[in-house]
Amino acid sequence: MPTRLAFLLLTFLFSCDFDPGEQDEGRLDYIAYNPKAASIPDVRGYPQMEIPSDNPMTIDGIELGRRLFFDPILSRDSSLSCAGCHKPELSFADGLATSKGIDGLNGKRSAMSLLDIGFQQNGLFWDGRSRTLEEQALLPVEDVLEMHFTWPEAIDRIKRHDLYRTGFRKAFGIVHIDSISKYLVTKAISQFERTLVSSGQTKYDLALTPGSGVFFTESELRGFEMYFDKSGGRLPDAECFHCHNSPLMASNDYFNNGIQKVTSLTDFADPGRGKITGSIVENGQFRAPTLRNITFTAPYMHDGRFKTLEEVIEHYNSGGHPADNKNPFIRSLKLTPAQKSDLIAFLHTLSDSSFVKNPAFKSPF
Amino acid sequence: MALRLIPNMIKYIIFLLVVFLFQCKTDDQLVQGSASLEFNALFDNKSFEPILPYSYTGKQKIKFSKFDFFITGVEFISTNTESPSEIGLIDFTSSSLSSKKLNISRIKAGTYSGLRFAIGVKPELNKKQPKDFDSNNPLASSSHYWDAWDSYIFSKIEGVVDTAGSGTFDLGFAIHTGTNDCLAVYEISRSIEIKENLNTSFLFDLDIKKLFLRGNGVFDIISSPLNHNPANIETLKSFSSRMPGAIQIKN
Repeated sequence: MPTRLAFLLLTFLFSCDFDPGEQDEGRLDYIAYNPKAASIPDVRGYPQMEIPSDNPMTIDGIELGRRLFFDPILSRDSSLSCAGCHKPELSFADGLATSKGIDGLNGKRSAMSLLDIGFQQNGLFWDGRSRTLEEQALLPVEDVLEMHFTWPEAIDRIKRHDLYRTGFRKAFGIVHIDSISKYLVTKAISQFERTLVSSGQTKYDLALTPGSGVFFTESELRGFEMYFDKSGGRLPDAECFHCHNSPLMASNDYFNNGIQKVTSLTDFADPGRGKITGSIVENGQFRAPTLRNITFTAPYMHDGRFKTLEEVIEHYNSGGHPADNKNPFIRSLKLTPAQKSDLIAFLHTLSDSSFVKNPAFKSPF
Repeated sequence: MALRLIPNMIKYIIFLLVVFLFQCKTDDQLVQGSASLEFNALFDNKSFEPILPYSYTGKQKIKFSKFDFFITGVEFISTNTESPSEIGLIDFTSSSLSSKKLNISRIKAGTYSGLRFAIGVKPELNKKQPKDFDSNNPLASSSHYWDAWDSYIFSKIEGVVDTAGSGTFDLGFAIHTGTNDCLAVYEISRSIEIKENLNTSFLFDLDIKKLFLRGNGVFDIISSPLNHNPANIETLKSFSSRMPGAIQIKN
């Protein structure tokens, strides 16, 4: 009888459902994992965005990335999120000449707009030091001038957060919180950042769309013709499109636009691209950022030296400071005050208010 | 009896056909080799370095901050000419060594009578735009697309000139060639062996000075420093047409 009882007891015990949650609090496989693919909206004339094969876009991945982007959890004192320097209402720039980190220290350069960031190739940041968005997002967390934290501590915090446990499971199908890593954090943030695509509904876009019923004003049209050198010699060539070409109004290249006064190529206070490549001919070169939403992203240049578009146009009109590697199209343009106004009028047509107001790009908190 | 044998014969034929088909090599399995086209820049037969000053004409000196060009339409010439699809953007001012080389894979092994390539973007590609290419394709570069001309920029030559020989490089210049009129073709006739699973390397020198030679003198860069719009097409053609002659094979 005792033997039979023991047998029944054992059978009962082994027939019980095993609840992993009770055994190991870190297990996540009790949460459903049903990834749904997300796509980037098509914008007329835009290239196909290249999505890394090891980080496909999913609805849950983007949502997790958005939460992480706006959450100050990644900074040491929990005061600064990615959005602290990349504010949606400023087209994901911050309105400062150089961004301020958690210790009140200023960074070396201005925060770049993240508009259309997923289309950028050939390096990110002003100097192209990160190859991909995933690599780029690793850096600010441990930068003493930014979030001044450590990744292991940031990951510990995230693991303790119920919403993130669920979020990482749903986004990446991990079965245990120990799989949450800085690489998954940056993958999620990158997924969100790749959604930050222009609406394609700027006045510029619509004016070039047949049948839209939207037309440039005379001043904007003159600015457009000077920007792209399309006046057939009637107006001066403002040489803008060499570095800020359509459709992104940017390029994936680096240029010395003559803003730094130097006596030689080794004299740049900030060598920019040259410091990354080690090539002296690339000293003083910086990425040509997008001019879409340029009215939202003042101050301008890598160091935020120009407060207004008027100052920017004045710089280019002057031809800038000479240097052996200054882009030859940065030359004295001899634009009249009216022509400068026309250029600025055209730049205003690149404003994308739908983008800055898009609720999908706002904080979830 | 004979009628009964027919189904067996059909089975046998099908069997032989299957064996035969599996013995055939698909295009992917053809005997193939590879090649690389590597370029070295010179200026007036001297080793070229960006931003080094070179004598231009008289007292004038010249420095280059940019020199790149597209290679498209590579062909290994024979009765069955092989036309690989690789496209290169050769850049003599980039710090990357790979930027001076175009690697071509999957060339049918065999003997060819020559090699040909276009310096610039062939018309069938030039009617496309950067958005039509994957971002890792050199033709995805929007900074090498000329919106005003609906054309790629085939080559960019940029730098500064010391116009008075004073030591001050006071004039920036740019020569951006483009449009189908500026397409140039380099061709060499020689026996070329592409061997199975082996790489055949071609080394070329390109003497930049030769692009600037005009008659007994040089291009008047002071009078025409910026050349990138329709008004300059004859100048641009004069540069692009000199590209093949500036290239010399070294091996």
